[in-house]
Amino acid sequence: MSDNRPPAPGTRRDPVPEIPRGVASVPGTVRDGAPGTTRDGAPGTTRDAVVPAPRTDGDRFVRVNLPPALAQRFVVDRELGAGGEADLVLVNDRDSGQQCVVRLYRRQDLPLDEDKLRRLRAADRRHLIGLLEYGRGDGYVWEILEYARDGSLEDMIRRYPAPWPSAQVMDIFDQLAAAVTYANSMGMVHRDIKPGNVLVRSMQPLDLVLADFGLTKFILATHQMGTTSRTSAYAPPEAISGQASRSVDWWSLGIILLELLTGLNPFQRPDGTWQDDRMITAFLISRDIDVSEVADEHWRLLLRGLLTRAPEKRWGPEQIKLWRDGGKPPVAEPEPARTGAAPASTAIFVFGGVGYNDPVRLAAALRQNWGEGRRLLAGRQLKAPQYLALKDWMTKHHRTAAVQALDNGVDERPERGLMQVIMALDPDAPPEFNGHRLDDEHLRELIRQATANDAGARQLIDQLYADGILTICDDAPGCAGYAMFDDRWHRCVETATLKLRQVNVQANPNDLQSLRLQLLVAAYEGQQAAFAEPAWRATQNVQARRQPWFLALTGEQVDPQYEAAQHAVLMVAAPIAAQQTNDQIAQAERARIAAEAAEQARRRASMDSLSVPVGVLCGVVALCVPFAGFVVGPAAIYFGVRARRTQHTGASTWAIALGALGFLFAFLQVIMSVAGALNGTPGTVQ
Amino acid sequence: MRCMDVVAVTHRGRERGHNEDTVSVAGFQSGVVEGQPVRFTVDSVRPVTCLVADGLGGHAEGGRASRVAAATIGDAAPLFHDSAAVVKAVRAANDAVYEEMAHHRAWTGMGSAIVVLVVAGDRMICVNVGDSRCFLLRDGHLVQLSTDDSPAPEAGQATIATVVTQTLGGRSDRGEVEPHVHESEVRPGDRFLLCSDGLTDELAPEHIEELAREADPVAAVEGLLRATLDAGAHDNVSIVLATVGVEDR
Repeated sequence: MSDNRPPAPGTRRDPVPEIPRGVASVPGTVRDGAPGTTRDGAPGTTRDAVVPAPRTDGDRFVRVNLPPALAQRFVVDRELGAGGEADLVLVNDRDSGQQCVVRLYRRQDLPLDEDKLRRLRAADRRHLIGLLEYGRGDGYVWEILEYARDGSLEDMIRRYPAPWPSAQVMDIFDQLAAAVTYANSMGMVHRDIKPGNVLVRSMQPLDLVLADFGLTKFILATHQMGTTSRTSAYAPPEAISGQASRSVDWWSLGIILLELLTGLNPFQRPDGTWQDDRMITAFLISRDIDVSEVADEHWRLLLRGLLTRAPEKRWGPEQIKLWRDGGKPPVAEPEPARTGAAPASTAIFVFGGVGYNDPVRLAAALRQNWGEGRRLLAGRQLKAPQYLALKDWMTKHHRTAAVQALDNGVDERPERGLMQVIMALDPDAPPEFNGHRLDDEHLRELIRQATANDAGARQLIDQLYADGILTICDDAPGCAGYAMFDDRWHRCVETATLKLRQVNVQANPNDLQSLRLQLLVAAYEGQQAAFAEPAWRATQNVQARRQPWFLALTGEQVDPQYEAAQHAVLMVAAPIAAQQTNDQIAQAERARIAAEAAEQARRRASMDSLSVPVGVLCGVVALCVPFAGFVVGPAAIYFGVRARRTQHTGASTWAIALGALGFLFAFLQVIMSVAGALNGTPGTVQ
Repeated sequence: MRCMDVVAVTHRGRERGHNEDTVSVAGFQSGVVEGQPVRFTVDSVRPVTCLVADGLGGHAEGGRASRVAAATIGDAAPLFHDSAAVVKAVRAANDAVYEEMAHHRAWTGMGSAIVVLVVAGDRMICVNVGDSRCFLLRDGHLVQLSTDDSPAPEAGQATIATVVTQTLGGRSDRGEVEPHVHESEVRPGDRFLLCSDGLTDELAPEHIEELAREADPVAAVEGLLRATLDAGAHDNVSIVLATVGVEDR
């Protein structure tokens, strides 16, 4: 729509003749750009201040090749997406290791709006994603952009389905309103603001930036990047006729806020599917966006101001500032009279053998009879009659949020669904999960029990983690800020388990349970460093430090928000590394003993084989040399016996026999000489 | 080839003098007074039909009604490839009960609740009339697939367990029935529990779920029956536990 326009004045569709194919001479591509646009950026504005750990999976298949000019400088990490005209590739700088994103257009006849690109490069990074460089060559045009690791607002919504609490939406409003105001003050209109184009630079504190300015504005098809982009659902009515004005972006912001506050884009059906572009166009031409679902009057005023159909009457920066300060700027179109609350339905739902027609009472019954509720929600997958009856009943009672909870449920997680339904039926009740209260005080008590090794409490915490229960409780009485808290917890656990996998540590389920518990504690505001001390002690484990991988782990620098995860990883890994060292020592000791034994056996075997000739020789000597048999005979027997251990048993037998005979012979010789001597003496006497 | 492992039992309970329930598995029918669990391994190349018919207690001929209904449905079982065929057979069973009633004046008003489970390939069809139930135990959750024909209670009131709004037969003048149908996919390892209200009135769902999880199906059925008898077994109790084979043979 708005992108389908002739190129901006001053740009040409033909290749610019004086621009050579090389990179360096194209204006604006010099690496040392104007101050503030260099790759290092202002402190705190890029997420990649820390050099990421070297990646081990270097052989991943990548479809996109970088043009030589870029390939010299960057290594492709992975593809982030592809559209009709361009590919998005995540790359690592060969020198600095910094990660950034290359948007590679597959044609080089694109006109570049040099002026705008220059302005973007110099733009304030607090509001807009950093455009690091741009250039052309080798048949491509490219932009090099800052990489926002936490993805987009769209990803965040997918992870934590709206409606979000008012305070959080206000945070997002503040950031986006500032960004739009800033961009407009620079003379730039984005024209395609949608959750997918709002990138999350960091979660804690929340830092949002607008992305996808720049080159894309000249290309029709690039906004169809990926499959979930929705442009028309966020575009104002005047965009249909191709008009463009500054107030385009304010409309888009209004739609995003409405989506966050109600949980649904106005062009999204309750089951999450989207209306097609023609229906959206038809709607925008004739009708106003209905904001009556938003309960808060002040929010409703803002939305009506932003979603004013006439662009010249739509709110801009002045009204928004006034509104933010608590004022009530006028809105062009009057608010339609709110229809009175729908009459209460008389429909009855039978649960646990009792009829209910009051959502709050049913919520209480579901809390009380948790098992029956779980079975009821387990029927989601099967479309069981009782489940369908519940859905029908909630529809009749106009419990849209509860019906939505059913629609967004997960088949495999009935208890998550049950929790969502209970919260939607009775949002004012303190949240309770399977009989356990989850408000701040009780949660802390639960953590204390789990820390004291209470098996039930530990299991419950596992379940809270797996089912994402704390996010569901967000903003309920006593549960302020639970969504962010839960998010920190999940991210840290995911980071930690990923790290453990990377270093190939097989933690047992008990360790993982402790890790989750520990990270839950560390997820509390200001507790990131709660386990710094034990983690430090873990790194000092002498045995563990003998493992190179553990040593590398201790030296790793991590993003402050994942500090707790790193602590947990160290604490889990240290005993395992120490065990590995002990195993290695034991292994080495066993090998040494075995080697000694083998050496001894070898020596004996060589003695044995030497015994064969020596034994036979001794036997012969014992037999042949008179009187030698006394000494040499037993020696021959000794060597003969040793020689029996070899395969020369014949020789051994000879040696033994000759030795024995030699000894006997010598003995006989002695007897005879003694006898001869005795006989001779009396003779001489006679 | 996939097999179904079915264990069935029917028992008169502790208070009733006779057994008005009938269980039927793949055409084998039983309505003995005090049965022992019987185990079948049924080749599921053709649709496998299991049912529990609960003859209306208090009527002398409840047992006759349940056996007539079970036999009528069992005869039509080879043709159960879709839910329409099963519904048609259940309606035919209703007619058969009324026809049987006409033979003898004393048999007037006899009737039966029924729940039929058909596993055909990778689909299952559950059809029921009255308050006999069919559950599916999957991933450890026991989900009811049948719809009870109980009168809707007022808000805040409990359902009256003894009253049903429709049965096969059960009235003096011939009437039609609207069977409840549920269809879904079958997965290997799925375990179906068909039972008369003699089981569900005695045991809490939590307890039934726990006993049905027992890996050995015979032990599971024995456990359910024993628990029911221990709880008093005020009515006849029938249990059919059908487990879809995991490994191909």
